[in-house]
Amino acid sequence: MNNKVHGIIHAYHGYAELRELGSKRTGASMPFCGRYRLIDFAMSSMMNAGIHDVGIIMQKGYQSLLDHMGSGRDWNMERHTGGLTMLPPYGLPDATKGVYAGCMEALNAVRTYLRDIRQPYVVLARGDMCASIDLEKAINQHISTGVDVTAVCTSAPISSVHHSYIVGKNSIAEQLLCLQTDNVGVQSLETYIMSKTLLTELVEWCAHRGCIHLHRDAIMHLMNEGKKIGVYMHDGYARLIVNVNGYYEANMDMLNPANRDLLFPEDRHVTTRERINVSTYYGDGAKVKTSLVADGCVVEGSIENCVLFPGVKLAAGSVLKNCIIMNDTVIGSNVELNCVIADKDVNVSSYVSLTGNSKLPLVIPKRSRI
Amino acid sequence: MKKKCVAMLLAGGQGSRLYALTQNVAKPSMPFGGKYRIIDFPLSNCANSGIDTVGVLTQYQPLQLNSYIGNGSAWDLSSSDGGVYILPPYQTSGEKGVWFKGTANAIYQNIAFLDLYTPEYVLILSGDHIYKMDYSRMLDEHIKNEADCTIGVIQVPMEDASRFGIMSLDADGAICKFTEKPKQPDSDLASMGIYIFTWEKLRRYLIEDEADPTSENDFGKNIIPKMLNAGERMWPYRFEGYWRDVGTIDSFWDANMDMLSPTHIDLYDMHWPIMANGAKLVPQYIGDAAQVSHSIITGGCIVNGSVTNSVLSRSVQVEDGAVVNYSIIMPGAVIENGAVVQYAIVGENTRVGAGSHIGSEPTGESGWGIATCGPNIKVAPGALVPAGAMIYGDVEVEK
Repeated sequence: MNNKVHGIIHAYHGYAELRELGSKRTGASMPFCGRYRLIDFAMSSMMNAGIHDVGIIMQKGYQSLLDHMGSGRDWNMERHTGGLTMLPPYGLPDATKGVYAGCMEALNAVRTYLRDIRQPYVVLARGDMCASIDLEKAINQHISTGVDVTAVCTSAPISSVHHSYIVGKNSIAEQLLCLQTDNVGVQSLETYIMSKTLLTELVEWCAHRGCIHLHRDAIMHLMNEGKKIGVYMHDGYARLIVNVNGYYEANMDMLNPANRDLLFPEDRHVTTRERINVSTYYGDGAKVKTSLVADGCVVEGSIENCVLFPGVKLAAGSVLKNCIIMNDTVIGSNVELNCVIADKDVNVSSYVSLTGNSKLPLVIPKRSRI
Repeated sequence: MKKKCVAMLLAGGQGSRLYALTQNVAKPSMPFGGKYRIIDFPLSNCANSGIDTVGVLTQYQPLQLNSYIGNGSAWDLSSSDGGVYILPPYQTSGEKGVWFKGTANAIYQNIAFLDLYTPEYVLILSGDHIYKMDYSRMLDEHIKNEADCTIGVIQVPMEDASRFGIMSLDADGAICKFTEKPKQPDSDLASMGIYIFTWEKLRRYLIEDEADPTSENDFGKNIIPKMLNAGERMWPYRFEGYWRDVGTIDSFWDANMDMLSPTHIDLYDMHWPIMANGAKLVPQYIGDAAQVSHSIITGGCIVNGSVTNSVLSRSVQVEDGAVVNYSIIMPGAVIENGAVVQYAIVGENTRVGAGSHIGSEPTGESGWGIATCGPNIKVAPGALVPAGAMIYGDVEVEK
């Protein structure tokens, strides 16, 4: 149990590079690994640390996110007091034209919410970060070391790194590096722990100066002031998903049991919205190799190196290789797909053949009829 | 709070004919068809039929069942003016508490619960049948016939009729005779153990029956015959569809195998979903060397061996070179390297050691049968569990 910490998840990021996959959903609500959405990792990390009060900052295209989160019941966050709060844009200055350009701007937009937080500490996390962080350990380290801010970082090179730290003795950050292309120092997972008081001060400080970035403006300011930024090292799988290739690779990573064990630790469950209530049926002619298959599928054809989401139907004689097939997509007979990402509710007629490339997967938009 | 219809689900039976599998759990909480437990079928039928208040009568080994049912939210039965209520036998002041003596006594002991809702009708269900049924249609017929009792009936092959409660109908189609397990059946209409009673009527019969010291306090043996003798309006509700009693090892195995053929019952039809209280499971992983066909496999499973014509519950592991054929594997069981499991039922969390053999293909000999390993058993590497064997309890099967 942890009644000292409040969670804030940034779920407003969208990326043009997610192409059609991101046109109607934010990065945080991208379906992942057969049954999850990316925000499940931040939510579950918080849930597993005993955090019950979480605010989710949203901005655009959040219909699918709202649908997924519901009342927060699946993460034990449906509470009479506190619990899950969805924070759509409000109190936004006109100048931003409805787009949060930076984390501090987003936090400023919800400052009245921040003001009413009951807990002394706040953890900030990203909804599109694919990592199971042991936040309980990170919080304990933050409290026991008495630093002003704790930054959760990883030594493993993650793609699309945002900023990094050079760490000195006692796990105290010595230098903050922005937009590094080479992997110097430890990579920030953009997950921060600080006191509520410091957070609200930072939000105000940034608002007065028109500063919008957490790392470049707020954290840099703290370091200049001589405040202590501690670093907590996360040693599991971590990946920030901002484009189709990263999305595809991260899903394919999960076909490797070692990666799966890192992202889904036995003692810290990753929880998602429960929906499907039937097992998967494999037909007489099914051939299945190296694949992750969610419940509720009917597989009569052949799949290899694939990730299937719930409710996918694959008719006999069809061959899928290196594909990601999302919820309720129906694929006819004698279809051949290779390196294809089919979004939800796609219908592929019999004898269709489509091939992408692992460096440029073919994306079939939601509800397409082929 | 007044309710039109409250369901009472009899879930206290021991399931003694499933012996090895029901040593520590009540039959309704037996895993079934991959994702489910048996009780999911009547509970989902209630939810889909619009019945929002369900009493679950428990007695034998209720702990797992209680925790599985929880607050009923898995079946959308956790509404503020209804819900699922676990009803164990309880003690009353001045008397010694007594166990439920029979099916009718179980309802009798919960008259106070039903009085909370003063329902017009009570639906009596049992927790050991696999079927999809719209109880609201049965209730409509009950009301239309102005019946005092409506009994769900299904046509069974004449040669099986002596295993059931059998009904004969008069010219109008009302029930005129009911015999529990007749030696010489004169009809093939069998009771499904599903009753709708007009509550006021049933309440009176329950009190009368309780006062009768010779009664076994059983619906089929006592209440129904008494109501018939008294000339109450008793009507059948004919059900046409898949319905199976899963009270024996063979019928339990058969019904699981039926789930592999969608012609029997369509679990993928989301218009009448059967719901389950799911665990937090990673999608199933089918490995490089796996072979999987004509099988049902559930979340959390890791399959690296061969699985054919089988039903795997959640979190089952089938290791390299292991063979599972025509078998039912329950949650958390592990089939180690090279083990061969055929025509068998493997209980929850049982570990089948490397290279061991469980069951065999049908031989045509009289001793052949489904091999059954109960829950939490360790079968040593290389051990042999022959066809028809039944293993349970705190044992290790040695080589």
